[in-house]
Amino acid sequence: MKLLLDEHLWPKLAELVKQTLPNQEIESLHQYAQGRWLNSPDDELLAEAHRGGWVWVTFDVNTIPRLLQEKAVAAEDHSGVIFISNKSYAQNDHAGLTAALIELIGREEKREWTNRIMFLEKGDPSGSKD
Amino acid sequence: MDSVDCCHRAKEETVRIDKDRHKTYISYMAVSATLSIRVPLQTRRWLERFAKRRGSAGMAATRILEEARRRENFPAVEFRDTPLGRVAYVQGTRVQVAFVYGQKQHGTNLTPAGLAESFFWPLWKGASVLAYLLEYPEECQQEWEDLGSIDAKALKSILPQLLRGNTVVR
Repeated sequence: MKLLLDEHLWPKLAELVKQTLPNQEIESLHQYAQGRWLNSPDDELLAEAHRGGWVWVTFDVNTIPRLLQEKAVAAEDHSGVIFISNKSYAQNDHAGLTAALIELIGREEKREWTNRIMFLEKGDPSGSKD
Repeated sequence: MDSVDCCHRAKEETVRIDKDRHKTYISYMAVSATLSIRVPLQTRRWLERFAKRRGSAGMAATRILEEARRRENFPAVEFRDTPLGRVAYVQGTRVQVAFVYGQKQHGTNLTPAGLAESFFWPLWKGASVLAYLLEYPEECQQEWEDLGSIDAKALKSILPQLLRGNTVVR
């Protein structure tokens, strides 16, 4: 489970997660490929994430869901997307986001993430549905 | 639920949000003046296409002029079409201005330097975005609330395959 953090997530979040999980593959879009994919359109970014097998982590519930809907209709694969609830986590809640990602990785890293879409929010983990 | 039903519900939601957004916009336009302009026929046709989701060519023209004025005053802000209507973004990035508003709401004392540093932006960009938040707080709040209204239930209606990934409440 490799995580690619969208541009609006704090770039140093990846480093914070790695402090606890040093072997975890997690990158911010700011650092990924020397920042070449910053300000890229959603469809190009999703395709690039799929080429590298990255699960895309984003707060963008505005534009990306429609893209995923189109992908599903066209039967095109992606490598997984995690939407973070902006009601549960502020983008500058660095400690909360770090803990949430670490917890999520611990629970989900062994799973197959192709075409998987998840909404990450605070709540009872036993209420997570598969 | 089939994909046609999903698309229909998504369109209904978009129309509802566009109407809410327009109400906020109209309140901003409470003090207004009429302007009659002559444009090439091709421009008029383009405007009519642009106006399809904005009620009328007049409303669309108003929006375009207002956005142009804001871009001149706030060069770090640009506007893009999204399923939630026209939305302010930080220029040249994938960051919605509403996301920065959300950070401010989180209680952080955002400074131009701090904001710019956290996203590797030049200082002027951080300053311009924060100035925009101060100038148009109601619109930024509306955009932030629109994003917050898209919860797991709303997402599931357009993405039936969505999973819930609850984390421990802290």
